[in-house]
Amino acid sequence: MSQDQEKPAERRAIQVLPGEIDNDYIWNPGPVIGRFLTRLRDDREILAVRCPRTSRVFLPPQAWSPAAPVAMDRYLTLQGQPTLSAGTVVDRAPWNLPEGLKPPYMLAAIRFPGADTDLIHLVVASRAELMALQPGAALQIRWKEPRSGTIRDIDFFTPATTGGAA
Amino acid sequence: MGDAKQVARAAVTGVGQTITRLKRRDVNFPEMMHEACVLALKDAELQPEDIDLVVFGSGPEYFEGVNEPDLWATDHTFGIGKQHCRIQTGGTVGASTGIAGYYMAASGLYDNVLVVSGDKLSESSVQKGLSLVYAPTMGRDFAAGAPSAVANQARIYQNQFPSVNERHFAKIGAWMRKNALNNPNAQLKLPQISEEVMLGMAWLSTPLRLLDSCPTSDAACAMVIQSARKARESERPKAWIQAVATISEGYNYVDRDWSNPIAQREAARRCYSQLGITKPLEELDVLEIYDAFTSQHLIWYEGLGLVERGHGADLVDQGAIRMDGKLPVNPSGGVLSNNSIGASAMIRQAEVALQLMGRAGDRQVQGAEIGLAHGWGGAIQFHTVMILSGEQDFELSRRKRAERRTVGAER
Repeated sequence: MSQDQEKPAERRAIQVLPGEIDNDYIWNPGPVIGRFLTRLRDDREILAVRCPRTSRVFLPPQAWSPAAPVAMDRYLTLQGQPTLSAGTVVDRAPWNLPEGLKPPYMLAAIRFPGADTDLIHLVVASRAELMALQPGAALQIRWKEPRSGTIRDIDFFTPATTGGAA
Repeated sequence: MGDAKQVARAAVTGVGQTITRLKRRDVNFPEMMHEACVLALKDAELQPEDIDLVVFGSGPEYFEGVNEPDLWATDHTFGIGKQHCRIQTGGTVGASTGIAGYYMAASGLYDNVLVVSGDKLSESSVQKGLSLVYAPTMGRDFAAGAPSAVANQARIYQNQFPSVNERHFAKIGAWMRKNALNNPNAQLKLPQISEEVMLGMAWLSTPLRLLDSCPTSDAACAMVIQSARKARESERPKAWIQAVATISEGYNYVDRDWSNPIAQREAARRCYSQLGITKPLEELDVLEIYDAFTSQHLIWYEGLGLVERGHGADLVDQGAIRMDGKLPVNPSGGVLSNNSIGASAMIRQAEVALQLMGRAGDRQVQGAEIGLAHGWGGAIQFHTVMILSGEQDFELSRRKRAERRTVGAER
């Protein structure tokens, strides 16, 4: 049972043992995400996949169809201006500030023309610009240099109105 | 619904909730689980040797930093010499553990089942643990804990229903924290809470402010679930488990409308259909939902079929969810007032059970006869529903409600 008023002698008692767990992993992204990430890194291309059963276009691509036990192997490259579907301006990120960023930034669902799903990624701009962004707002990609084969090879998106090379 | 009479096959006959604090420095993790087990056994007037089976739940391993935490706790949960098994389904784990215990007792293979679930969130970085649920190949790079994911869910909802605003969230937050003042087990007690206080808080992740979020807690909850045969041997008050469902959505969150929880809809539909419930807002007396964030109230009301999609805020505007409203929601103060994750979804079931037993103290909904407990977890992915009643024969509980209403109307 809890004792909120501890006896003096108990104040010396050991109550925490600090520690950490360190473990190394290598994760296989699978052939589909592997291909998607390779295209980002080498060609700055956005690779999606079309479901052969429903014709829905998935971005990021995935190996299986949620609708049927069929492989999704009809790849296509998406072009054109992405837009904001929804986003939250993150003011407090207690862990894992995305590399090189500090709040406020936007965690966003982003739609590319031709896709039927949203890509989750970051939008970076001033707080005022982020707060003013509405669904449907045009965005542009800021690529990372050099690229290493992760989803952050797209460093982040910016509102299209603020300029910056795509 | 078939012609067969709906007669419950198992009942909750004992409930134990530990003391809850931001940090339980007085006990280690197995000792805290033990505390809940002792309280539940005592409440059910059973001895440890009466228990046939222990179902153990806790959140992701990252929370305790112990791989297979159930092994560490076996001695402390009366599991020695018995079947002792673990459930892990993220935030729903407490509810899944209760439901697994129900399956065991309802099967007729076990008479006395002890279920226990909890976490000590003070012993690790919770938001790191929550961020690590995302796949390492996609998504984890942006994960900043639960708030930003749920804030995006709220934004997606608001984009579709623009009349939902911060004031709705603030009202919900203030009402739930007021309810918590009546619950000795709630952790976050804010006597000065009001809509204005809620709206004066700093942003967490738009459209959510700091107090739109739950606290983190150290807590455990346990229940004794008995087969109908065993439960009937005692005259003590009990809560009969009438229907359960645990449903998953796909992990691929980019392919779903986060604001339209199809798993929750399906879980509710299955339970209502089994019991012949067609108007849950009229046919339930009390609701305990997994409300880690204020905005989720509106979405969960719709998922549970209380109102049509897009009308969750109507229940707030009408005050229907308040203690004196049409369907009190979270008299306990909910997850917004107490969130250890591991215990939270089982506490929803335990709180409904206490309400139906008439043992909910200052937070009692008078005459509560039929109640629903909801759990939510995973990457906005898992939902559970459990419907309980005061009588084993569901029709009898329904009749009692009808009679009560008639008496009320005559007054």
